Amino acid sequence: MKLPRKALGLALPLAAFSLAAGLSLAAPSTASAASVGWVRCAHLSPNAPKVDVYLYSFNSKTPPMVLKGVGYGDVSEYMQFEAGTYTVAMRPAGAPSSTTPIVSTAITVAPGAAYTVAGVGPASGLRLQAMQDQLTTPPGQALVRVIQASLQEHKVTVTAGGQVLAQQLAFPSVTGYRAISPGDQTVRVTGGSEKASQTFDLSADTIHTLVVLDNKTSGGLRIVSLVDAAGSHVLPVGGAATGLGGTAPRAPGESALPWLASIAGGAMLALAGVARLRWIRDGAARVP
Amino acid sequence: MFAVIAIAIAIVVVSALFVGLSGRVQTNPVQARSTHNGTGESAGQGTSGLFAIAAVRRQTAVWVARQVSQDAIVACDPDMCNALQTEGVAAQNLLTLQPSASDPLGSDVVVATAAVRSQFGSRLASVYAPTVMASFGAGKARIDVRAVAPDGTAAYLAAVHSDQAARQNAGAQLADSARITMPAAVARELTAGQVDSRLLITLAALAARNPMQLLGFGGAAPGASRGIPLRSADIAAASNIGATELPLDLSFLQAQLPPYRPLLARVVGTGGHAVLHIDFGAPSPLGLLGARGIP
Repeated sequence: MKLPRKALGLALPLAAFSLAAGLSLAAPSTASAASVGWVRCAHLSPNAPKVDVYLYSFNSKTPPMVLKGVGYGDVSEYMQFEAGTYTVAMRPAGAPSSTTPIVSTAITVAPGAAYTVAGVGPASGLRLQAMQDQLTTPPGQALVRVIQASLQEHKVTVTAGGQVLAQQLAFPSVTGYRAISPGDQTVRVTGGSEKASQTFDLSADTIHTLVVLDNKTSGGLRIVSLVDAAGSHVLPVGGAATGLGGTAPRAPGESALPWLASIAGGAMLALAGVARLRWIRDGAARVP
Repeated sequence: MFAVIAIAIAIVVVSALFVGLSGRVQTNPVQARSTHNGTGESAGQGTSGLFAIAAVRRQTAVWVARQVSQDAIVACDPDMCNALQTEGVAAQNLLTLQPSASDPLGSDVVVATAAVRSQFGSRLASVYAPTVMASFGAGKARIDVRAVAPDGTAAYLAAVHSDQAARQNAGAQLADSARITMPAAVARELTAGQVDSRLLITLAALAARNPMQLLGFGGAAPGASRGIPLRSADIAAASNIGATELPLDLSFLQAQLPPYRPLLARVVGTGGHAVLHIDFGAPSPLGLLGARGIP
């Protein structure tokens, strides 16, 4: 799950260049960093089928966003949204947008804040739940929280190094963030009969969400580390480079430069976590 | 002349029969109550007082049966629970408060008759159920329908305050939507945060499907505490062509799962005069518009 160091060595300067280029080219934008937030979507319901996730803005000024074919364990990158309230709805994967969706939740995106909207619970009670993500750390520390998304083990205990992050955490639930000693940490998950462990780079000034999942290919459990933020004290100045917003239909005369700037601005964040973020396999697009 | 007199006599006789029957029907609950009452609520009440209590109880039971969410657990004294069952509230949704019960916790709604008020004293309002969703009758006959605060009054009121702010924010965005037209008074209700969050979320999803006219909100109940949200809405299509979409909007509403499944949704009228009525059940859930952890 870790990026090869060579790739990081190439990616970080590239991101820095993109950021500088983006900022220098950026035209004045109505979607300034002060008025946008970030949302990523995840499917964490082990026995639920793939779904398409729709986000409708309350003021109807932002076109609906759709993430297609979101399957168990999939987590999108952060997508940039205008601050505001959104209704989140689901349809079975591949269903036409004219079919009846199930409204699942609503999320209010505050300026500068980031959220994870996750499909949780068993298939019979699948719902999307919005969680606010932390973006800043105390200097020199790493923050970690745990989402229990394994149906195979209804309760798990999660440790990192010798530190207990979650004790008998029930499905589906999430802990608050906890500060841990930064560095490479072996994360161990223990359920009633299954266990798993994996080493993650939990560097200082980074924030992670560890997700405990059923391993659908080989059985047992697996652990995924999502990077919520990298780099302390600094909020992301743009959305992660999802490409989603940039492909959205724009009003006539609207420049693409602000999108480029925000994409570049978020590239640092995205690259820091890209090794651990699972992409939505079936793509994503805004619906007209 | 003879025919007129005969008709007049007939009217008097029929009226007398009707009044007599009505009296029997109305006094039956009182008689039943005196049989089942173990609360002492009626001690010292005259016939008119008992009649008033029974009438208010029935009025309350009708309101609860029609307005409270079908999955809500309702706490009530034995007589009130009987009345609620009579009006169609499922027995499994009732939590009967025996005289020994120390609190109404475990329920979502408590029907506060004089007996229940006496049982829990001031703690009913100050600890267990601070807000009144509806109130009927007066004096000893008064019955309040209260929302239970499962985590205590302080946490509940903080959540109410937070929810109100979120509804104001979201309502202002809906009022600003180009896909929804509405009278100024309706926009004011939206921006004041007076509208139930389920309704706001549903309206946003419906507006994303088709442009609409928001005709008005309703659901205000007598004696409700300040800030209790409006839970119903009437909407119409933005055009005659769009009116054909209202049955599809109805299907959309009927396909929803709790908490977004309305208590009642129906299309009234046809063509350009068709109106979609949506009614969500009480109590209004708190915190639907904000991000939080997985429970």
